[in-house]
Amino acid sequence: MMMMDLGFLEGGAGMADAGHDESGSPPRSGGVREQDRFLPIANISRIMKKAVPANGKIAKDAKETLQECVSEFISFVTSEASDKCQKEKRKTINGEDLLFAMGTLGFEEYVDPLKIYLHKYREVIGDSKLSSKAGDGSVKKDTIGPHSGASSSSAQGMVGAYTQGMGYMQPQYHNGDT
Amino acid sequence: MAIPTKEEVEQNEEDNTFSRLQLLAQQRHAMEEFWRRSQEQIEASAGNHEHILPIDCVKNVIRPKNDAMMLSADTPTFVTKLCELFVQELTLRAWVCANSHNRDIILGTDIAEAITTTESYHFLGNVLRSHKALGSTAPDIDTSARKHIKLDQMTSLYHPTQEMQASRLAGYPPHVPIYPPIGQMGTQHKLSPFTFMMQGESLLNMKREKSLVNEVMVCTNKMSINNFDGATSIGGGSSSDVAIVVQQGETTHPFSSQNACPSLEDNYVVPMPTGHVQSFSPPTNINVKKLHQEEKNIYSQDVAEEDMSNESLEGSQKDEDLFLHEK
Repeated sequence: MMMMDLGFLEGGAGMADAGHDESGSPPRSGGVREQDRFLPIANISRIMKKAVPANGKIAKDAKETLQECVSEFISFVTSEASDKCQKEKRKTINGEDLLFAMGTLGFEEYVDPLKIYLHKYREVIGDSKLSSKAGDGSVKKDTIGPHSGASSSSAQGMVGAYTQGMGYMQPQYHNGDT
Repeated sequence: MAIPTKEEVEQNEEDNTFSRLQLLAQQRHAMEEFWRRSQEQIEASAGNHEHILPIDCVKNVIRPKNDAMMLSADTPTFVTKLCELFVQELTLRAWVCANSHNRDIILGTDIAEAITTTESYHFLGNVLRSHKALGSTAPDIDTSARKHIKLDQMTSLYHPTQEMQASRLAGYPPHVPIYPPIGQMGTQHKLSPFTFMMQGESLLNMKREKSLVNEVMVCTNKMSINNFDGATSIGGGSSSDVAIVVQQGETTHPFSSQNACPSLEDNYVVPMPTGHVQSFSPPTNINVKKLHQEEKNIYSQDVAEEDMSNESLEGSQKDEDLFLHEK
Protein backbone atom coordinates (compact mmCIF):
# COMPACT_ATOMS: atom_id res chain seq x y z
CA MET A 1 0.00 0.00 0.00
CA MET A 2 2.79 2.40 0.83
CA MET A 3 4.55 1.70 -2.47
CA MET A 4 1.30 2.29 -4.28
CA ASP A 5 0.93 5.56 -2.43
CA LEU A 6 4.40 6.64 -3.55
CA GLY A 7 3.57 5.75 -7.15
CA PHE A 8 0.40 7.73 -6.84
CA LEU A 9 2.33 10.77 -5.62
CA GLU A 10 4.86 10.52 -8.44
CA GLY A 11 2.11 10.10 -11.02
CA GLY A 12 0.23 12.98 -9.44
CA ALA A 13 3.19 15.28 -9.98
CA GLY A 14 2.92 14.89 -13.77
CA MET A 15 -0.78 14.30 -14.48
CA ALA A 16 -2.86 14.75 -11.35
CA ASP A 17 -6.32 13.61 -12.44
CA ALA A 18 -5.39 10.87 -14.91
CA GLY A 19 -2.70 9.35 -12.69
CA HIS A 20 -4.99 9.47 -9.69
CA ASP A 21 -7.81 7.69 -11.48
CA GLU A 22 -5.61 5.00 -13.01
CA SER A 23 -3.56 4.10 -9.93
CA GLY A 24 -6.27 4.59 -7.31
CA SER A 25 -9.15 2.39 -8.36
CA PRO A 26 -7.73 -1.16 -8.85
CA PRO A 27 -6.32 -1.99 -5.36
CA ARG A 28 -9.14 -0.43 -3.36
CA SER A 29 -11.95 -1.96 -5.36
CA GLY A 30 -10.31 -5.39 -5.05
CA GLY A 31 -9.70 -5.07 -1.32
CA VAL A 32 -13.28 -4.34 -0.34
CA ARG A 33 -15.46 -7.26 0.78
CA GLU A 34 -19.07 -7.58 1.88
CA GLN A 35 -17.96 -9.19 5.13
CA ASP A 36 -16.27 -5.93 6.09
CA ARG A 37 -19.46 -3.88 5.83
CA PHE A 38 -20.04 -4.09 9.59
CA LEU A 39 -17.84 -3.94 12.65
CA PRO A 40 -17.61 -7.09 14.83
CA ILE A 41 -20.79 -7.49 16.86
CA ALA A 42 -18.84 -8.71 19.90
CA ASN A 43 -16.94 -5.43 20.12
CA ILE A 44 -20.18 -3.48 19.62
CA SER A 45 -21.70 -5.47 22.48
CA ARG A 46 -18.82 -4.62 24.81
CA ILE A 47 -19.18 -0.89 24.13
CA MET A 48 -22.95 -1.09 24.70
CA LYS A 49 -22.48 -2.78 28.07
CA LYS A 50 -20.24 0.09 29.21
CA ALA A 51 -23.16 2.51 28.76
CA VAL A 52 -25.72 0.37 30.61
CA PRO A 53 -25.88 -0.31 34.39
CA ALA A 54 -24.81 -3.72 35.66
CA ASN A 55 -28.40 -4.95 35.93
CA GLY A 56 -29.11 -3.98 32.32
CA LYS A 57 -29.41 -6.58 29.56
CA ILE A 58 -29.16 -6.20 25.78
CA ALA A 59 -31.13 -8.31 23.31
CA LYS A 60 -29.41 -9.74 20.26
CA ASP A 61 -31.61 -7.85 17.80
CA ALA A 62 -30.64 -4.61 19.56
CA LYS A 63 -26.95 -5.43 19.04
CA GLU A 64 -27.50 -6.20 15.38
CA THR A 65 -29.47 -3.01 14.83
CA LEU A 66 -26.75 -0.93 16.44
CA GLN A 67 -24.08 -2.77 14.41
CA GLU A 68 -25.74 -1.52 11.24
CA CYS A 69 -26.25 1.96 12.72
CA VAL A 70 -22.53 2.34 13.45
CA SER A 71 -21.53 1.48 9.89
CA GLU A 72 -24.11 3.93 8.59
CA PHE A 73 -22.81 6.54 11.05
CA ILE A 74 -19.21 6.10 9.82
CA SER A 75 -20.27 6.45 6.20
CA PHE A 76 -22.44 9.45 7.05
CA VAL A 77 -19.69 11.35 8.85
CA THR A 78 -16.79 10.42 6.57
CA SER A 79 -18.74 11.29 3.44
CA GLU A 80 -19.52 14.71 4.91
CA ALA A 81 -15.83 15.21 5.76
CA SER A 82 -14.83 13.99 2.31
CA ASP A 83 -17.15 16.47 0.63
CA LYS A 84 -15.61 19.32 2.63
CA CYS A 85 -12.07 18.23 1.68
CA GLN A 86 -13.01 18.01 -1.98
CA LYS A 87 -14.43 21.52 -1.87
CA GLU A 88 -11.16 22.76 -0.43
CA LYS A 89 -9.26 20.71 -3.03
CA ARG A 90 -7.56 18.55 -0.41
CA LYS A 91 -7.17 14.77 -0.79
CA THR A 92 -6.55 13.68 2.78
CA ILE A 93 -9.20 13.47 5.49
CA ASN A 94 -7.92 14.29 8.96
CA GLY A 95 -9.31 14.65 12.47
CA GLU A 96 -10.30 18.28 12.11
CA ASP A 97 -12.40 17.49 9.05
CA LEU A 98 -14.29 14.85 11.00
CA LEU A 99 -14.81 17.19 13.94
CA PHE A 100 -16.18 19.86 11.61
CA ALA A 101 -18.49 17.30 10.02
CA MET A 102 -19.83 16.25 13.42
CA GLY A 103 -20.70 19.85 14.21
CA THR A 104 -22.38 20.31 10.83
CA LEU A 105 -24.44 17.12 11.15
CA GLY A 106 -25.94 17.98 14.53
CA PHE A 107 -23.55 16.14 16.85
CA GLU A 108 -22.22 19.21 18.63
CA GLU A 109 -21.88 17.31 21.91
CA TYR A 110 -19.14 15.16 20.40
CA VAL A 111 -16.88 18.07 19.43
CA ASP A 112 -15.45 19.08 22.81
CA PRO A 113 -14.58 15.57 24.10
CA LEU A 114 -13.07 14.60 20.75
CA LYS A 115 -10.96 17.76 20.56
CA ILE A 116 -9.37 16.76 23.87
CA TYR A 117 -8.93 13.21 22.61
CA LEU A 118 -7.31 14.33 19.35
CA HIS A 119 -4.92 16.62 21.20
CA LYS A 120 -3.78 13.89 23.59
CA TYR A 121 -3.55 11.37 20.78
CA ARG A 122 -1.22 13.55 18.75
CA GLU A 123 1.01 14.13 21.76
CA VAL A 124 1.35 10.39 22.28
CA ILE A 125 1.73 9.63 18.58
CA GLY A 126 4.46 12.26 18.22
CA ASP A 127 6.49 10.67 21.04
CA SER A 128 5.95 7.15 19.77
CA LYS A 129 6.89 8.07 16.21
CA LEU A 130 10.15 9.67 17.32
CA SER A 131 11.11 6.63 19.37
CA SER A 132 9.80 3.55 17.53
CA LYS A 133 8.32 4.18 14.09
CA ALA A 134 10.93 6.50 12.55
CA GLY A 135 10.85 5.04 9.04
CA ASP A 136 7.11 4.65 8.75
CA GLY A 137 6.57 8.04 10.32
CA SER A 138 8.87 9.75 7.85
CA VAL A 139 7.19 8.08 4.89
CA LYS A 140 3.72 9.01 6.08
CA LYS A 141 4.76 12.56 6.78
CA ASP A 142 6.26 12.87 3.32
CA THR A 143 2.90 11.91 1.92
CA ILE A 144 1.15 14.36 4.22
CA GLY A 145 3.66 17.19 3.56
CA PRO A 146 2.20 18.66 0.34
CA HIS A 147 -1.35 18.42 1.67
CA SER A 148 -0.37 20.02 4.94
CA GLY A 149 1.14 22.88 2.94
CA ALA A 150 -2.10 23.27 1.03
CA SER A 151 -4.06 23.20 4.26
CA SER A 152 -1.74 25.79 5.77
CA SER A 153 -2.35 28.09 2.80
CA SER A 154 -6.11 27.63 3.08
CA ALA A 155 -5.96 28.11 6.85
CA GLN A 156 -5.44 31.83 6.43
CA GLY A 157 -9.21 32.23 6.23
CA MET A 158 -10.04 30.31 9.44
CA VAL A 159 -7.55 31.09 12.17
CA GLY A 160 -9.36 29.47 15.13
CA ALA A 161 -9.85 26.03 13.58
CA TYR A 162 -6.43 25.65 12.03
CA THR A 163 -4.22 27.22 14.65
CA GLN A 164 -4.00 23.81 16.32
CA GLY A 165 -3.25 22.29 12.94
CA MET A 166 -0.35 24.67 12.42
CA GLY A 167 1.01 23.76 15.83
CA TYR A 168 0.82 20.08 14.92
CA MET A 169 2.35 20.45 11.46
CA GLN A 170 5.52 22.21 12.57
CA PRO A 171 6.77 19.05 14.37
CA GLN A 172 5.99 17.09 11.21
CA TYR A 173 8.24 19.36 9.12
CA HIS A 174 10.93 19.02 11.72
CA ASN A 175 10.64 15.23 11.70
CA GLY A 176 10.61 15.26 7.90
CA ASP A 177 13.82 17.24 7.79
CA THR A 178 15.59 14.87 10.15
CA MET B 1 -44.61 5.13 3.35
CA ALA B 2 -43.54 8.41 4.92
CA ILE B 3 -47.06 9.73 5.32
CA PRO B 4 -48.35 6.84 7.49
CA THR B 5 -45.22 7.13 9.60
CA LYS B 6 -45.88 10.79 10.24
CA GLU B 7 -49.51 10.09 11.06
CA GLU B 8 -48.45 7.41 13.52
CA VAL B 9 -45.98 9.82 15.09
CA GLU B 10 -48.68 12.49 15.40
CA GLN B 11 -51.10 10.01 16.97
CA ASN B 12 -48.43 8.92 19.42
CA GLU B 13 -47.70 12.51 20.29
CA GLU B 14 -51.39 13.28 20.86
CA ASP B 15 -51.92 10.19 23.03
CA ASN B 16 -48.70 10.25 25.02
CA THR B 17 -47.57 13.85 25.04
CA PHE B 18 -46.78 13.90 28.73
CA SER B 19 -44.90 10.58 28.69
CA ARG B 20 -42.94 11.70 25.63
CA LEU B 21 -41.90 14.95 27.29
CA GLN B 22 -40.93 12.99 30.39
CA LEU B 23 -38.90 10.58 28.25
CA LEU B 24 -37.07 13.43 26.53
CA ALA B 25 -36.29 15.01 29.89
CA GLN B 26 -34.88 11.72 31.17
CA GLN B 27 -32.80 11.33 28.03
CA ARG B 28 -31.37 14.85 28.35
CA HIS B 29 -30.44 14.18 31.97
CA ALA B 30 -28.80 10.87 31.06
CA MET B 31 -26.94 12.49 28.15
CA GLU B 32 -25.58 15.30 30.32
CA GLU B 33 -24.17 12.74 32.75
CA PHE B 34 -22.82 10.67 29.86
CA TRP B 35 -20.93 13.54 28.21
CA ARG B 36 -19.50 14.74 31.52
CA ARG B 37 -18.26 11.22 32.28
CA SER B 38 -16.87 10.75 28.76
CA GLN B 39 -14.97 14.03 28.83
CA GLU B 40 -13.56 13.20 32.26
CA GLN B 41 -12.43 9.78 31.01
CA ILE B 42 -10.77 11.28 27.92
CA GLU B 43 -9.00 13.91 30.01
CA ALA B 44 -7.90 11.27 32.53
CA SER B 45 -6.54 8.91 29.86
CA ALA B 46 -3.16 10.57 29.32
CA GLY B 47 -1.31 7.85 27.45
CA ASN B 48 -3.61 4.83 27.40
CA HIS B 49 -5.59 4.67 24.20
CA GLU B 50 -7.16 1.24 24.39
CA HIS B 51 -9.58 0.70 21.52
CA ILE B 52 -12.40 -1.79 21.83
CA LEU B 53 -13.00 -1.71 18.09
CA PRO B 54 -10.27 -3.12 15.82
CA ILE B 55 -8.84 -0.30 13.68
CA ASP B 56 -8.48 -2.48 10.58
CA CYS B 57 -12.22 -3.14 10.60
CA VAL B 58 -12.87 0.59 10.97
CA LYS B 59 -10.64 1.26 7.97
CA ASN B 60 -12.52 -1.31 5.90
CA VAL B 61 -15.81 0.38 6.74
CA ILE B 62 -14.44 3.85 5.86
CA ARG B 63 -12.77 3.04 2.54
CA PRO B 64 -15.67 1.82 0.36
CA LYS B 65 -17.33 5.23 0.21
CA ASN B 66 -14.11 7.24 0.18
CA ASP B 67 -12.07 5.64 -2.58
CA ALA B 68 -10.94 8.98 -4.00
CA MET B 69 -9.69 10.28 -0.67
CA MET B 70 -6.74 9.39 1.54
CA LEU B 71 -6.78 9.13 5.31
CA SER B 72 -4.33 10.82 7.65
CA ALA B 73 -2.60 8.71 10.28
CA ASP B 74 -4.93 9.89 13.03
CA THR B 75 -8.21 9.34 11.16
CA PRO B 76 -8.85 5.60 11.85
CA THR B 77 -8.07 6.01 15.55
CA PHE B 78 -10.21 9.13 15.69
CA VAL B 79 -13.13 7.37 14.00
CA THR B 80 -12.74 4.43 16.38
CA LYS B 81 -13.17 6.72 19.38
CA LEU B 82 -16.01 8.50 17.60
CA CYS B 83 -17.83 5.20 17.14
CA GLU B 84 -17.40 4.23 20.77
CA LEU B 85 -19.04 7.48 21.87
CA PHE B 86 -21.82 7.06 19.29
CA VAL B 87 -22.59 3.49 20.39
CA GLN B 88 -22.66 4.46 24.06
CA GLU B 89 -24.87 7.49 23.44
CA LEU B 90 -27.41 5.56 21.39
CA THR B 91 -27.35 2.63 23.84
CA LEU B 92 -27.98 4.97 26.78
CA ARG B 93 -30.93 6.59 25.01
CA ALA B 94 -32.32 3.13 24.27
CA TRP B 95 -31.82 2.17 27.93
CA VAL B 96 -33.96 5.16 28.97
CA CYS B 97 -36.64 3.95 26.52
CA ALA B 98 -36.50 0.43 27.96
CA ASN B 99 -36.90 1.78 31.49
CA SER B 100 -39.88 3.86 30.38
CA HIS B 101 -41.54 0.53 29.49
CA ASN B 102 -40.55 -0.99 32.87
CA ARG B 103 -37.96 -3.31 31.30
CA ASP B 104 -34.31 -3.93 32.19
CA ILE B 105 -33.44 -5.35 28.76
CA ILE B 106 -32.82 -3.27 25.63
CA LEU B 107 -34.67 -4.55 22.56
CA GLY B 108 -34.37 -3.53 18.93
CA THR B 109 -37.59 -1.58 19.34
CA ASP B 110 -35.96 0.54 22.06
CA ILE B 111 -33.14 1.49 19.69
CA ALA B 112 -35.67 2.32 16.99
CA GLU B 113 -37.57 4.48 19.47
CA ALA B 114 -34.36 6.27 20.50
CA ILE B 115 -33.55 6.95 16.83
CA THR B 116 -36.99 8.36 16.09
CA THR B 117 -36.93 10.63 19.18
CA THR B 118 -33.46 12.06 18.45
CA GLU B 119 -33.23 14.70 15.71
CA SER B 120 -29.56 14.11 14.86
CA TYR B 121 -30.27 10.43 14.16
CA HIS B 122 -32.57 11.08 11.18
CA PHE B 123 -30.01 9.56 8.81
CA LEU B 124 -30.52 6.17 10.52
CA GLY B 125 -34.13 5.85 9.30
CA ASN B 126 -32.92 3.97 6.22
CA VAL B 127 -30.95 1.59 8.44
CA LEU B 128 -34.08 0.63 10.33
CA ARG B 129 -35.92 -0.14 7.09
CA SER B 130 -33.01 -2.11 5.65
CA HIS B 131 -32.67 -3.98 8.96
CA LYS B 132 -36.27 -5.15 8.65
CA ALA B 133 -35.62 -6.13 5.03
CA LEU B 134 -32.49 -8.06 6.04
CA GLY B 135 -34.40 -9.91 8.75
CA SER B 136 -34.02 -13.14 6.78
CA THR B 137 -30.22 -13.05 6.95
CA ALA B 138 -30.14 -12.51 10.72
CA PRO B 139 -31.52 -15.99 11.54
CA ASP B 140 -28.65 -17.52 9.57
CA ILE B 141 -26.14 -15.69 11.74
CA ASP B 142 -28.04 -16.79 14.83
CA THR B 143 -27.98 -20.40 13.66
CA SER B 144 -24.22 -20.38 13.12
CA ALA B 145 -23.71 -18.75 16.50
CA ARG B 146 -25.92 -21.33 18.18
CA LYS B 147 -24.00 -24.15 16.48
CA HIS B 148 -20.74 -22.70 17.79
CA ILE B 149 -22.22 -22.46 21.27
CA LYS B 150 -23.40 -26.07 21.06
CA LEU B 151 -19.92 -27.17 19.96
CA ASP B 152 -18.47 -25.38 22.98
CA GLN B 153 -20.97 -27.13 25.22
CA MET B 154 -20.08 -30.47 23.64
CA THR B 155 -16.39 -29.92 24.34
CA SER B 156 -17.20 -28.83 27.87
CA LEU B 157 -19.33 -31.94 28.37
CA TYR B 158 -16.50 -34.20 27.12
CA HIS B 159 -14.11 -32.90 29.77
CA PRO B 160 -16.16 -34.32 32.70
CA THR B 161 -16.01 -37.66 30.87
CA GLN B 162 -12.23 -37.56 31.20
CA GLU B 163 -12.68 -36.74 34.88
CA MET B 164 -14.93 -39.79 35.19
CA GLN B 165 -12.21 -41.91 33.56
CA ALA B 166 -9.70 -40.43 36.00
CA SER B 167 -11.98 -41.32 38.90
CA ARG B 168 -12.31 -44.85 37.52
CA LEU B 169 -8.52 -45.11 37.37
CA ALA B 170 -8.43 -43.90 40.96
CA GLY B 171 -10.96 -46.60 41.84
CA TYR B 172 -8.88 -49.29 40.11
CA PRO B 173 -6.32 -49.77 42.96
CA PRO B 174 -9.00 -50.98 45.45
CA HIS B 175 -9.87 -53.75 42.99
CA VAL B 176 -6.25 -54.74 42.31
CA PRO B 177 -5.36 -56.21 45.73
CA ILE B 178 -6.26 -59.91 46.18
CA TYR B 179 -7.10 -59.60 49.88
CA PRO B 180 -10.88 -59.91 49.41
CA PRO B 181 -10.54 -63.27 47.59
CA ILE B 182 -8.23 -64.53 50.35
CA GLY B 183 -10.83 -63.44 52.86
CA GLN B 184 -13.45 -65.39 50.96
CA MET B 185 -11.20 -68.45 50.92
CA GLY B 186 -10.72 -68.02 54.64
CA THR B 187 -14.45 -67.96 55.13
CA GLN B 188 -14.73 -71.09 53.02
CA HIS B 189 -12.18 -72.80 55.22
CA LYS B 190 -14.07 -71.62 58.26
CA LEU B 191 -17.27 -73.06 56.85
CA SER B 192 -15.73 -76.50 56.50
CA PRO B 193 -15.35 -76.92 60.32
CA PHE B 194 -19.03 -76.08 60.64
CA THR B 195 -19.76 -78.80 58.10
CA PHE B 196 -17.64 -81.24 60.12
CA MET B 197 -19.48 -80.26 63.29
CA MET B 198 -22.79 -80.79 61.54
CA GLN B 199 -21.62 -84.20 60.40
CA GLY B 200 -20.60 -84.98 63.98
CA GLU B 201 -23.99 -83.95 65.25
CA SER B 202 -25.63 -86.12 62.63
CA LEU B 203 -23.51 -89.08 63.79
CA LEU B 204 -24.66 -88.56 67.38
CA ASN B 205 -28.28 -88.45 66.25
CA MET B 206 -27.74 -91.70 64.33
CA LYS B 207 -26.39 -93.40 67.47
CA ARG B 208 -29.47 -92.35 69.42
CA GLU B 209 -31.71 -93.67 66.67
CA LYS B 210 -29.85 -96.98 66.70
CA SER B 211 -30.41 -97.27 70.46
CA LEU B 212 -34.13 -96.77 69.95
CA VAL B 213 -34.16 -99.38 67.18
CA ASN B 214 -32.39 -101.83 69.52
CA GLU B 215 -35.11 -101.42 72.16
CA VAL B 216 -37.80 -102.15 69.56
CA MET B 217 -35.88 -105.19 68.33
CA VAL B 218 -35.58 -106.48 71.89
CA CYS B 219 -39.39 -106.45 72.19
CA THR B 220 -39.68 -108.29 68.88
CA ASN B 221 -37.14 -110.82 70.11
CA LYS B 222 -39.40 -111.58 73.09
CA MET B 223 -42.40 -112.09 70.80
CA SER B 224 -40.38 -114.36 68.50
CA ILE B 225 -39.31 -116.49 71.50
CA ASN B 226 -42.93 -117.12 72.45
CA ASN B 227 -44.10 -117.76 68.86
CA PHE B 228 -41.21 -119.76 67.36
CA ASP B 229 -40.23 -122.28 70.01
CA GLY B 230 -38.97 -124.80 67.43
CA ALA B 231 -36.54 -122.44 65.80
CA THR B 232 -35.28 -121.28 69.16
CA SER B 233 -34.91 -124.88 70.25
CA ILE B 234 -32.71 -125.65 67.25
CA GLY B 235 -30.49 -122.61 67.85
CA GLY B 236 -30.80 -123.13 71.57
CA GLY B 237 -29.43 -126.62 71.20
CA SER B 238 -26.20 -125.44 69.75
CA SER B 239 -25.89 -122.54 72.17
CA SER B 240 -27.24 -124.51 75.12
CA ASP B 241 -24.17 -126.68 75.02
CA VAL B 242 -21.95 -123.65 75.42
CA ALA B 243 -24.27 -122.13 78.05
CA ILE B 244 -24.47 -125.36 80.03
CA VAL B 245 -20.73 -125.74 79.96
CA VAL B 246 -20.33 -122.18 81.23
CA GLN B 247 -23.25 -122.15 83.72
CA GLN B 248 -22.83 -125.59 85.28
CA GLY B 249 -20.70 -124.16 88.05
CA GLU B 250 -23.30 -121.50 89.02
CA THR B 251 -26.87 -122.52 88.04
CA THR B 252 -28.66 -125.92 87.94
CA HIS B 253 -31.86 -124.91 85.89
CA PRO B 254 -31.55 -126.04 82.23
CA PHE B 255 -34.77 -124.14 81.29
CA SER B 256 -33.23 -120.88 82.38
CA SER B 257 -30.13 -121.71 80.35
CA GLN B 258 -32.35 -122.32 77.32
CA ASN B 259 -34.03 -118.92 77.81
CA ALA B 260 -30.65 -117.24 78.04
CA CYS B 261 -29.38 -118.95 74.92
CA PRO B 262 -32.14 -117.55 72.61
CA SER B 263 -31.34 -114.03 73.79
CA LEU B 264 -27.68 -114.54 72.98
CA GLU B 265 -28.66 -116.09 69.66
CA ASP B 266 -30.90 -113.13 68.87
CA ASN B 267 -28.09 -110.71 69.76
CA TYR B 268 -25.82 -112.69 67.48
CA VAL B 269 -28.35 -112.76 64.59
CA VAL B 270 -29.66 -109.14 64.77
CA PRO B 271 -26.34 -107.47 63.80
CA MET B 272 -26.30 -108.59 60.19
CA PRO B 273 -22.95 -106.97 59.19
CA THR B 274 -20.14 -109.50 59.07
CA GLY B 275 -17.72 -107.12 60.77
CA HIS B 276 -19.85 -107.11 63.90
CA VAL B 277 -20.02 -110.92 63.83
CA GLN B 278 -16.25 -111.25 63.64
CA SER B 279 -15.74 -108.74 66.48
CA PHE B 280 -18.62 -110.18 68.57
CA SER B 281 -17.17 -113.63 69.51
CA PRO B 282 -14.13 -112.48 71.57
CA PRO B 283 -16.13 -109.77 73.45
CA THR B 284 -18.85 -112.31 74.21
CA ASN B 285 -16.44 -114.58 76.03
CA ILE B 286 -14.93 -111.68 77.91
CA ASN B 287 -18.37 -110.30 78.86
CA VAL B 288 -19.53 -113.70 80.12
CA LYS B 289 -16.47 -114.08 82.33
CA LYS B 290 -16.94 -110.57 83.72
CA LEU B 291 -20.60 -111.31 84.45
CA HIS B 292 -19.63 -114.31 86.49
CA GLN B 293 -16.86 -112.48 88.30
CA GLU B 294 -18.32 -109.05 89.15
CA GLU B 295 -21.79 -107.84 88.06
CA LYS B 296 -21.31 -104.16 89.05
CA ASN B 297 -17.88 -103.86 87.41
CA ILE B 298 -19.22 -105.52 84.26
CA TYR B 299 -22.14 -103.02 84.16
CA SER B 300 -19.85 -99.98 84.40
CA GLN B 301 -17.45 -101.39 81.80
CA ASP B 302 -20.33 -102.08 79.42
CA VAL B 303 -21.50 -98.48 79.74
CA ALA B 304 -17.98 -97.25 79.02
CA GLU B 305 -17.68 -99.46 75.95
CA GLU B 306 -19.49 -99.06 72.62
CA ASP B 307 -23.07 -99.87 71.54
CA MET B 308 -22.27 -103.58 71.15
CA SER B 309 -21.26 -103.76 74.79
CA ASN B 310 -24.56 -102.03 75.67
CA GLU B 311 -26.49 -104.69 73.75
CA SER B 312 -24.65 -107.47 75.59
CA LEU B 313 -25.38 -105.70 78.89
CA GLU B 314 -29.08 -105.59 78.07
CA GLY B 315 -28.99 -109.30 77.30
CA SER B 316 -27.30 -110.04 80.62
CA GLN B 317 -29.90 -108.00 82.54
CA LYS B 318 -32.73 -109.93 80.84
CA ASP B 319 -31.11 -113.21 81.83
CA GLU B 320 -30.97 -112.12 85.49
CA ASP B 321 -34.62 -110.93 85.37
CA LEU B 322 -35.76 -114.26 83.94
CA PHE B 323 -33.76 -116.11 86.59
CA LEU B 324 -35.34 -114.08 89.43
CA HIS B 325 -38.87 -114.49 88.00
CA GLU B 326 -38.41 -118.21 87.66
CA LYS B 327 -37.17 -118.52 91.25
